[in-house]
Amino acid sequence: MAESAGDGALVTVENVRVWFPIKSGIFLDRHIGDIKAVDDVSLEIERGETLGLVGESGCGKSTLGRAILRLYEPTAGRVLFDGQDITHLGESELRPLRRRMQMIFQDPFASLNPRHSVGRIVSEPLRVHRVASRRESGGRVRELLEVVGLPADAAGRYPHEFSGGQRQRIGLARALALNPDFIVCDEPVSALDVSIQAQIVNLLESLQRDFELTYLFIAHDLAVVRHISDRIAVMYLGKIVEVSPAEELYENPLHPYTISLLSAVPIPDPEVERERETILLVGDLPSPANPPPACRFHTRCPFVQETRCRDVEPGLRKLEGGHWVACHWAEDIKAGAIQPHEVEAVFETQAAPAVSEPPV
Amino acid sequence: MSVAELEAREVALEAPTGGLGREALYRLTHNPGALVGMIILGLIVLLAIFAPLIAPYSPTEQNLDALQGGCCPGPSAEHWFGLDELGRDELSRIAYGARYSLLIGIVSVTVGFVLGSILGAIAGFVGGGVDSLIMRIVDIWLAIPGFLMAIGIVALLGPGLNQIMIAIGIINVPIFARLLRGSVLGQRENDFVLAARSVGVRKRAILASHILPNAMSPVIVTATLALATAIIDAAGLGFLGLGPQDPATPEWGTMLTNTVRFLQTAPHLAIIPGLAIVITAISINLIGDGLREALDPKMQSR
Amino acid sequence: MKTRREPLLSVEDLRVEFWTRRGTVYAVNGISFGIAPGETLGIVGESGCGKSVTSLALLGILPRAGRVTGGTATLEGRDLLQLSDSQLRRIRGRDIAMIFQDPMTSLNPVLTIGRQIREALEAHFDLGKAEANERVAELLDRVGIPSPEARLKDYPHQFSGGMRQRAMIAMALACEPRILIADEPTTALDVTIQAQILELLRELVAERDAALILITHDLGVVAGMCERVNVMYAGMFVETGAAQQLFSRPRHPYTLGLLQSIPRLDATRKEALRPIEGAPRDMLRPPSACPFQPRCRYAVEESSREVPQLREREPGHFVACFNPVPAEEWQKTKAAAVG
Repeated sequence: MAESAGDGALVTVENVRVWFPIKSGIFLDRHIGDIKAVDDVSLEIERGETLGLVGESGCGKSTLGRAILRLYEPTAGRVLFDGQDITHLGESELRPLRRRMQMIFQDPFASLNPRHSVGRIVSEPLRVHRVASRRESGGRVRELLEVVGLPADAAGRYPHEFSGGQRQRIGLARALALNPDFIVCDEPVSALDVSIQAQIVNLLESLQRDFELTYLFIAHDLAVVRHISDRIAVMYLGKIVEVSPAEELYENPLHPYTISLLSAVPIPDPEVERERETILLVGDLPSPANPPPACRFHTRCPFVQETRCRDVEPGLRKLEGGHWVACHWAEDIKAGAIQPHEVEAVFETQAAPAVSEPPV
Repeated sequence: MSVAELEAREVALEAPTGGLGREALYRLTHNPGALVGMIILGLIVLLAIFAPLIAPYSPTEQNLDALQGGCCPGPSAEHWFGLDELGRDELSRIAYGARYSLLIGIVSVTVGFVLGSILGAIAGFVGGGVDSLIMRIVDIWLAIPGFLMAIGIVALLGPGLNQIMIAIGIINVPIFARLLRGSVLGQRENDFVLAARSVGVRKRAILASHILPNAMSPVIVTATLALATAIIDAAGLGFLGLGPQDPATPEWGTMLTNTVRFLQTAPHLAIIPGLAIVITAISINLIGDGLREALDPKMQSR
Repeated sequence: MKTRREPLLSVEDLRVEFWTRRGTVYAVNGISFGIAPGETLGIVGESGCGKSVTSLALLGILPRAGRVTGGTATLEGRDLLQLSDSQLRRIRGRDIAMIFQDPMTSLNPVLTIGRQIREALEAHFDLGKAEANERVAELLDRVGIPSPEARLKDYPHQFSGGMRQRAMIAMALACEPRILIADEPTTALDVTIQAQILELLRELVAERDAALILITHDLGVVAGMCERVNVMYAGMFVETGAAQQLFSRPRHPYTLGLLQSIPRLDATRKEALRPIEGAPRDMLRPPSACPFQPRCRYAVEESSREVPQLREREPGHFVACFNPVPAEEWQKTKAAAVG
């Protein structure tokens, strides 16, 4: 359980599981297994903070973000928003809450309906919640476009006339339309050019200050996450393996996966690169349909030990102030008592099984 | 970027800016094949609409005297397409026949399109058991050869103009159902649909304003091509005597029914209606191909 | 700096255009570079700068609307840009091989991995099927794919992303090319897989004393892999030199801008990022002035009148700029951010 924050937490996730059923069959689909995309995750997001959520593909971070927004219904566990349990609310009960929690997406090309004008896209939230009709929303749309740095005449144009960075701004304008408290940013800059990423990151930061927003910032780019986040949670195969204050993560990573991840991130400095000690992970990520038992990371862990790692699942436990880790041997690794060693590579050679619809 | 992305960019630079519809229109009107198709089809439509003005004679008036010298006088100055076995003017019959073919084609495809789309949209959007059930029925429906099914339906309902429209409409339903279901499924996964959900848009509104407009493109192309097939099917049913029962009706397929024995002496009786059917079908196909290219989502500017 | 060997490939003033109905896109506007055996050259730039087009032009595999409109690319005395397709076919794979970004679309999904790599071998060598298969298995083993003999019969979709990229590398190396062009080879991969693949590339290239041209937008990757770096913007090289020179003393405002706008993992203080304002220009006009001028904080009068040429500012370090950034500028800002 991540650090308790009393009543300050805006979002609370308790033991949430999001499992996607795998169905197969000739005539009728039979349930033959599950993709355990998010498996027993708990965390809290404080009002006003930016919680970064990092991990590689298949770790479940996007799924978790969507589950928090109730775009997926958790298979187990609870999601609380501002103290209210929203885990099993129906669409009509959720609707008023949706004004307070929004999302921005990764793909600037797919997240905007190509057949709607920008004005229509940005004003849709206003119309859905009966705040303004299409005619009345013009002023608010102009305001929003200005806030995100787009010209007012953009409202009459169509998404495909804009660049990737501009389309992300449109998505942001849409998310801000109803003055939400909480925004899930799902890889908002990954698909953008490097020189544009910085513009959007700065915009996100200034919007947070101006509108008192709380962010869940999901990304795989550790450097960007570190820059924008107050705290960072690291995910691997559906589980959170480490939660740490952002500044500490680079100097003081505790979980072997975090350590390996950090050493793999390229740094734009040839001297630093030359002198780094890289810990190379071997093999592929195991399939979320069939994760390794006990500690999920034990098949690739360069610090794996004979006892405990393969038998007992490590829970997320508090090591130092604000720093939680799910590893049996974290203290010993930090003290240097355990050194990294060679691991036998395990490659995944089966194609991902056909998954049916996510639990909506 | 990959070569595919480079090519998409390259195509994107070619189209003008503006709404997506305008771009598609531009691409369509600048496609030589589609342009030819549109001109020819346009002429045929005009022919059908203004048949009373264009046809020099009545399509049903018989002129048995002209057949004195045996069957049948071919194209001449007074009768551009000649006369048929009952002395009626071929040109006039072709002109009025255009009405039947186009009417049957449009009505039957519309029936198939509307019913099929409703089924497909429900299957694709609702999913689960409903989807499975609808699709199994559609699978069985598709397994029966279309034309034979049409014959069967007409056999059940009795021959006639309305009956062949219903029959051809019915055989088109599963095609559109399957197509729209696939299209809807594809659109459902798009981020902007998820965005609409996260904003709180109601399911019905998502289907109507987000999914369907984007899912329609492949369906429109198929509808166009189905029109051509419908006209041919209608002619086929007419040829078999299952169409309009009044022998005076100038439906192109029915016009072919009795021409077999005149192939040696009066080939124009078979060739001219046959050509009319073929040219109409080809022009529609050309437009359909042009539409497919114009609406191809890969070609949309990025 | 070690003395450079005789270049294997010399490109002079390469120009590539795309003909579209909206006008001509001037994708590459006069770039020159050379690469010698054993060298790693990084061509770094953002999307649309023309870096991928360059490699396609060299191998003669530009999309239909692309045309090489100038320059030479000399490989052992022959100008690649003048060769016919059949002549180029003998060079592709054998002398110069390419690795693409997306292994899912660059591998044929309906052919087995073994068959595809064998095709590469059969195109250039006279080998029997059994012998070729053996060679393919060896290659798959060398790139780190386990149980290679069994993998020969697998299809691309049965491989993970990392394994597919390894298979692509195996295919590229099958005919022992002397020059390897890797176009964004790890962009589609997770960071930990990327590290594996880059390490593999490093080893293989060193083993074979091959030349590697690494095309990417990721400055971090370039810093770790390349001895020399060419920064590309709007179809031209704006700065070239040794990696060490460029990363510690960047002189072109674009290079400086990139370094300032990228968040660094080892940054100790949370300074706001300094983005480069504006967006890349469209390439519908031939360059008549400095292409970076509209976004440049250091622009001077000449910047809007003439196209700057590459000029040597320190040995081996060339900059195309009328008002290059002071050499210590980056170190100053870096000190503030990284500490």
